[in-house]
Amino acid sequence: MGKKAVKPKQFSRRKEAKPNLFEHIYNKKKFNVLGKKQKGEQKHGKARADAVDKRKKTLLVEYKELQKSNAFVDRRFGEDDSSLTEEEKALARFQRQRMKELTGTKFSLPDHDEEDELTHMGRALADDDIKAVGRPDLDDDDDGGLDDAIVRDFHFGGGFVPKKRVEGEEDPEAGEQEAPERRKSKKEVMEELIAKSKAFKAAKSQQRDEDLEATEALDTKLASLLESGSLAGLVKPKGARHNRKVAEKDAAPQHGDDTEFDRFRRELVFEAKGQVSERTKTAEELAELERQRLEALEARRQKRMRAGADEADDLDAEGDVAPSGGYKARRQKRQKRLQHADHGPSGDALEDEFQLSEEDEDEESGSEEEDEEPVSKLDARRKARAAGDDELQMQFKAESAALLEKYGIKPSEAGDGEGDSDEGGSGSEEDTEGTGADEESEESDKSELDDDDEDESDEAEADDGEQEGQEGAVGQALQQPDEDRERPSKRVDSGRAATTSEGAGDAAAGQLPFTLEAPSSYEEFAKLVNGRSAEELSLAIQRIRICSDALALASGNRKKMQVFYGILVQHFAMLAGSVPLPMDHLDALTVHLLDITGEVPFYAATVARARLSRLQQRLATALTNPEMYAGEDSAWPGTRALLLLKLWATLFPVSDRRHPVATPAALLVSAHLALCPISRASDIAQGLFLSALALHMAAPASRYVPEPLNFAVQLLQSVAPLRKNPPHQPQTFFSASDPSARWLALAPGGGNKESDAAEIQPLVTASVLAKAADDGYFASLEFKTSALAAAMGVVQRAAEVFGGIAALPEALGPAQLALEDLGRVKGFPKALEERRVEVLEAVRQVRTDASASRRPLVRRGATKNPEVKLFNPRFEEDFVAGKNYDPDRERAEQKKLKRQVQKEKRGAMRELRKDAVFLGAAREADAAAEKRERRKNLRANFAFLESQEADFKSGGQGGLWKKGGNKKARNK
Amino acid sequence: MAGGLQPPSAEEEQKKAAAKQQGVIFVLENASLETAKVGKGYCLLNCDDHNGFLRRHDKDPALYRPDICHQALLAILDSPLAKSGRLKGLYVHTAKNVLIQVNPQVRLPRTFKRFCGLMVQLLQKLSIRATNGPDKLLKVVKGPVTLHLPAGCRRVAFSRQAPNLIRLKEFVRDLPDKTPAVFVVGAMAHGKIDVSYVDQWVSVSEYPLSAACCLGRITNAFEDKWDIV
Repeated sequence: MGKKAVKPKQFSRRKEAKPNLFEHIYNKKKFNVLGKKQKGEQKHGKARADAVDKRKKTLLVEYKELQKSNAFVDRRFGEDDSSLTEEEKALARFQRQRMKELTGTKFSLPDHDEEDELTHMGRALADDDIKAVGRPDLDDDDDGGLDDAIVRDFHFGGGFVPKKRVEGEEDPEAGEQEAPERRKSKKEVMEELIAKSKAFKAAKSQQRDEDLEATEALDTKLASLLESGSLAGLVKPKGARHNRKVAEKDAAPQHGDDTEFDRFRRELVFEAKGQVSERTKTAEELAELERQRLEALEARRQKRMRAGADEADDLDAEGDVAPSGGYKARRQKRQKRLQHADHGPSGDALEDEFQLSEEDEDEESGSEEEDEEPVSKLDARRKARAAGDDELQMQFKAESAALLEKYGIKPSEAGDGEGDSDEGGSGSEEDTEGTGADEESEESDKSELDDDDEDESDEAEADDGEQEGQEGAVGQALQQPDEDRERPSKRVDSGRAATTSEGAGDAAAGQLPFTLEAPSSYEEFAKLVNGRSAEELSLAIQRIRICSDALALASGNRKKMQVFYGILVQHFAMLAGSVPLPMDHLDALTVHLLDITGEVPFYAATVARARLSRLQQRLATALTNPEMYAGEDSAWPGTRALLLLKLWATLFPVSDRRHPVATPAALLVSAHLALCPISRASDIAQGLFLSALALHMAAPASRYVPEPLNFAVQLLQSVAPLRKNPPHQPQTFFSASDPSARWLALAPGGGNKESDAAEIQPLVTASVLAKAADDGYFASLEFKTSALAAAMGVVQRAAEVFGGIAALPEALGPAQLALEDLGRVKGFPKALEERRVEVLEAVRQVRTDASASRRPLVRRGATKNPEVKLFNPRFEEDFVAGKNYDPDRERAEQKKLKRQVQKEKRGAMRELRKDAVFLGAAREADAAAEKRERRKNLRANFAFLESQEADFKSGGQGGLWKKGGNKKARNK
Repeated sequence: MAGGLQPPSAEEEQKKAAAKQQGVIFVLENASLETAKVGKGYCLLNCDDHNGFLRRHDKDPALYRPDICHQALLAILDSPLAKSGRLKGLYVHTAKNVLIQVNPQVRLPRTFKRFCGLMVQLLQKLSIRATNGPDKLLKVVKGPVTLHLPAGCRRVAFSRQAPNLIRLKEFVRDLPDKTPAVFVVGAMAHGKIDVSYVDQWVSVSEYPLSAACCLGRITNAFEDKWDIV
């Protein structure tokens, strides 16, 4: 309170006292953390002393003034301050007094003797600069720098170049000099400008005059030179070049060698130079190329085989999933087609092309476009043209017919009439049928059926072929009569063929022409090849193909090839239906069919599918009307159908997962095996053939086909009577046949001796299938033995083919049982018995292998050891001690505030506690002082009283009485 | 507790279970986990990043190899042995005499940088909790490590200099199953572990092995023994 006066600076406090060693508090470190600063060891001790000092100054003072109404305040300077010496105090007091004197009174005015100055914008108005402003300075009459000034200020504003100081001007007055120039009036400026431009014009005209004079002077000089003729040698006369050319021409014949030479030279210049060609490949390179091609083909085959499994993957890999419809689908198809055009179809590229042409041309462009958009006139015209009904086309046809007639060729023979050949083909077929019927006295029912079937097939044709514009070719291929369901024995084609070949031997007669046109109808072809050997047939086809290939680029060649393919298939069917089976011919045909299928894959597929659909229809009819087939004819396919199925299995890739021909063919074979009942012994042969075929088709892709195995087991079971109580086994198949029928029951004890010795005869397709159903052969022991062996072969083959299938033990269970049952049959031929044991062993082996490879069904979760649960440690990337890492900001803030409150609270409590302790000490000290004083007083009082008492007792002697003392005093 | 009878603490129970069951306890001795204030923040000292810093402070950088400890811990914690719950305890004893108890259920950071961050935080906060659980996964505990080892367990230390070279599979096969075995492995770059509490010193290879490799051998041996696949 008293010391609020300003402390003069020069009085600093004296040097601090030496620190009290007892107040040191050492900061003991457990860990020496590298790089961490250690600080402030004695800080704590000093703080404590400071706190006590502070309390003394504040709390103690208050305590002392407690219950006091007034206080003495010593306002003398430095009175309380013990740190100042007396001299310092005196000096400070003197200084203070002088200061007070200097400051003066509060209300005295400053005694400036100079008058008040007026200012403007902080500058005195008396200033020269301000006075000068606004006074025009007109004494500017030096024109020396005028041009420069005009250029600087008025010509395009002088640009951005900093304005140069004019030479004529003095530096210090620059600001005043520039102002009057700027103030030049517009009129003056314009006058100057005009004067300048005039001067410029004048200079220009003068220059022009000078130039003119110089030119004229030169002209006169040249004229004089020309006249003198000194330049004549340098100038060419007019037309000199032309004259020279003429002269050269005239001179040319004289120098024949030169022209020849020139010609050679020119020829050499323009002669084609040898091009760098690709070098001849070595044998290894060629082999490598071939290997690559084969690998690519194999990869494609594999892809098609797995089609269903990873189709999605493949599509994904290609980039996008093929859309099912719409613009995108069409675009994709177009791209595909373009690609196709680029690369060309491969031998196996049937599927693509098939899909492409069928969907694209038939359905998409045909039906969909019609649906979506109205047919434009252009489209209509195109269609009409395609159909051949266009006016122009009609006209052209008429004209061409007339022309042909003129040259003595019949228009129908020329082969442009497709319908004609069609009709001819069907007519001929009907004829042959007719003859067949006459000869073999067919039933009337059957011919009716034929008609029906033909109608159906025609309809099918119309569906298939109409939109393709290939009616002729397809029709021809389909116009085949329904040989399939006719008995092989009744066929007379071969007979007919033989007679015709003998009768009309004039044309062919062994000699084949070297160039053969592709025949346009089957009659032509039949005429050509009937009665020829297999080699000749092969040769004929070869030549036809070569001739066609020569015309590979000719338009319509493809179509011709298609027609030819249809003819070949028809011929194959014809041969397959004949008795006896000309196997050589069939083989020869197959080779060529295989080649041509690669060339016309789509057409080949169409032909095959048409035939397959008819076989399917036949099967359906046979199964729905069993009585119709009860007699001679059975539901099983005839020899022709069997061989055709076999042909397709050869022509088309059976390993494909989905194939437009191979898949339906395989399904049809299986359907026959599953659904056709064995109604007589001859059916067994067909069934076995189909079983072998089904396995043949299933083997490359190792598919599971149950039908052949079931059929074989059925046959095996038909040897011996059923067991009384057969062991339970899962019903794996459905049999259309009577299970109790004993088709292959060996005659009891019949010919034991001879059968033991006899070898098993293999079933020869050609001979067995050609036999009539009621042939005695089918009842013979030989056939039964062979059939049994074949059935066992089917079982064995099935066991091989189905190797990787998980359900193999169950699938082969019935077969094993049947084979075991056969062991009980007495009188088994020895060779057959051996075979049985062999097959049985093989089946057992395969079953046990498959069973052994099975893994037990284990629920993974049930046996798994429980895994220890793992926890993630919670830590921060760059941890700073004391930082709040709570992601919830509000909560963190709350926490921080709470902590602060707690800290403050604790601090306040500590302060209060220490205050109390301090006050307690002060009070105690007070009390002690009071007590001390009181005791002192008490003691003094007591002392007084004691002395009084003593004085009294000593009789006024002040307590100093002594028994001899008085005597002493008396003595004095 | 109200009733006056307190159930044993979770830790005690855990300890008892560990002692009872067959299992393995690992102690990584002499691990170089040391924090220092480098620049502004704290770091786990390693020889690659703090070469100059260590030289300034007169330390040998070759001794600061926390990556060894990281690899060793990963080798233990990632083994099927640990996943199957047979790892009963894991302690890391650092060269600065800090004992860290590692919960066998911890999923350590895979990267070294994150491991360093974890260790820095651990050495400052003295415990690390789990993000997905209440437990303390890493904890600085009071030493010596023998306080935490179950009674009666076999304590085996590994040293290349040990006189008896053993085949680990046979050795492990012969260990008693009643109490867990304690394996003490050094997690340092140079030198020998200096522990007095082990029963046996063994050498498992003719060659000097890294800590992670050695631990891998041990875990493999136990996996074979207990048929942990």
